[in-house]
Amino acid sequence: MSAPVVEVNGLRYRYPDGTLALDGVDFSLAAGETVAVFGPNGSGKTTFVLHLNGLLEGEGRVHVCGMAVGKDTLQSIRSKVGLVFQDPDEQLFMPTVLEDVAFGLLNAGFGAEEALTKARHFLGLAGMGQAGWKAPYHLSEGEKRRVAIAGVLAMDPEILVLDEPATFLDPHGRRELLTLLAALPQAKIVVTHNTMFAEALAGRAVFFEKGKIVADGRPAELLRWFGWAPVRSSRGPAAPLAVPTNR
Amino acid sequence: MHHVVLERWSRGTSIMHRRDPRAKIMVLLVFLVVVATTPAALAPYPLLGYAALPICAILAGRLPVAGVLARASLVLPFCAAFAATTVLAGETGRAVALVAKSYLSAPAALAIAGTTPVPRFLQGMEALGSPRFLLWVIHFLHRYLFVISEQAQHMRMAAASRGSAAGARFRRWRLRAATGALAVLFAKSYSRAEAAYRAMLARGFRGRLELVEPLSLNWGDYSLMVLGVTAPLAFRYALEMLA
Amino acid sequence: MHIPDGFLSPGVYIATGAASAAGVFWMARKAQAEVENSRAPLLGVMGAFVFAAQMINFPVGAGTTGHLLGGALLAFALGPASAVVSMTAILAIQAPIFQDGGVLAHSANVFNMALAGVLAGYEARWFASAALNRALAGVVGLAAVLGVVLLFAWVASGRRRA
Repeated sequence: MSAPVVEVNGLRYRYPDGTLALDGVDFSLAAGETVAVFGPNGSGKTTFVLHLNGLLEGEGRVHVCGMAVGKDTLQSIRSKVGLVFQDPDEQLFMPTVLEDVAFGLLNAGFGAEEALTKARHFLGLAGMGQAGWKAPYHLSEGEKRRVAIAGVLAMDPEILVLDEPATFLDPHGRRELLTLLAALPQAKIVVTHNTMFAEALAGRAVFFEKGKIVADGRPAELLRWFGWAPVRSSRGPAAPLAVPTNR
Repeated sequence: MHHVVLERWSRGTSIMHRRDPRAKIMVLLVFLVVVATTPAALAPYPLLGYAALPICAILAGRLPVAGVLARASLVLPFCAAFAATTVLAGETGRAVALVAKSYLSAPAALAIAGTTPVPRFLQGMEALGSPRFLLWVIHFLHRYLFVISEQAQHMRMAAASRGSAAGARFRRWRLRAATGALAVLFAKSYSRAEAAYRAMLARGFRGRLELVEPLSLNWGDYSLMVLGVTAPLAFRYALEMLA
Repeated sequence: MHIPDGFLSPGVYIATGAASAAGVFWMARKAQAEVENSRAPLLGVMGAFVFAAQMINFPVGAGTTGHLLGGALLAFALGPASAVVSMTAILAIQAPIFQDGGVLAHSANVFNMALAGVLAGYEARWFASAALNRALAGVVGLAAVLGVVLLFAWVASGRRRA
């Protein structure tokens, strides 16, 4: 096994209002690995992923690709860790789709021409090649998600962090997103409540509770353990009310 | 909703849509200045002849003339009160001129706004020297206008579904409820702004926003400028000759 | 409801134009200096909020008051300089898109809605809150804003007739 791309030890974070959001998180991610992050609302999942990109800074050790997250490494860490936010409306703010994808590239110091060429390439990769000069608010939710992902991929990250990528998507859109993500070589951290999505994408999962990682294992096992396994249809004789079975 | 129609209009591909935003802004400004500075005493009814120009622009932009004129009438209530007092003072001609001047300006602005998407418009403004910071504020305002309006709309529906439209007896409660809704909307907007900013930081934002789509003037833009500047001036000259 | 185009006399345009340009330019610099990073997203989104806030059914008069309340609210939340910039942006969007106020008259509208409106609301509150309770301060602020706006409307129309 290669050296981990993300290593977190004893991470603690307290919000300015005093709430302890993270209470000693230990985590590591290998190159190319996909990890699902489960946990109840308010258990610290989103707070945790914001640390990976240096958007929040708590006590403890956060290393990304061998670099400690801090003021002087911020710019390179932000290009290593691509963060796809929960609400694409917050991420897509440039006038046109193409310019939005180029935004990160321009920040990274690419010239306008090169940024546009690269942006077109990544839009195509995300299956949005035809939408270049559209305004973000003319896109469907699924398309917005794709553009947001293209914008992050354009920065050539080694780690993709997706916060609730499957929300707002219909089953068809979810399946398409799954295909897109599965084909990407990057290591991925997927924060989600969508158990089927997680099971299809991730080989490993961690479970957050009250600011701590309380379990680490195969997604299916974790879901069963915490009673999160999808409830089968309770209608019809073939599938009786799904209660965790004691075997 | 209101701006959605204009948004749809502005996405056309007509000869007007294809013009450089700078040319359109300049032509609009010239027209507005010429109209605004035409003395009201100068033949009030022939003033309406100015309308030919915005109507030509609307036709060239393939916008619905009736629709544009109807939207333009939104300026009328404001003028109406002033016009009414002028009429009462026995200066009907002046009142007509006042209303005509205000009403004429609106289709002109619409002819430009209806053929120029907001981002292009802002880009033109930037090229013409408007302060960048302000333009970016306008851009963000426009970008999140729809998102936040929708949120407000949802809150309104949620309140209505629980009977917020009940009689005047509950006026006090309704005020309290509306205040609460306003506070929630405020907090949501604020956190959305923070989230958007965070998303910018996450992609390495360093305090400088830039657009990449280039602007370029071609012969069409130059002809628009020549036409748009000479036509209102010529009409004005004719008016003054008549008087 | 704002002043449309073709309404004011050239003198008023020039005077308010100069005042607004100088005022907004100065305020924009102040607003930018208030925090080191660009505040454009915050000011823009909060401007959108003032717009959207009008959709909430207030059982009191809508329209102008909604804007003035919005302006005052922004002034308290973001500081007066940022509020002026935000209001200027609102007016700039309203003129071409909502046919509320004119393009040329933008400067005049900025002058009485953004500059005079925000500052009067803000200063009045600041001034009054020491002596009176908060609710009263709000009322005084609002009254001051309305007074200023009416004054400017009156001056504007008076100039036109003269």
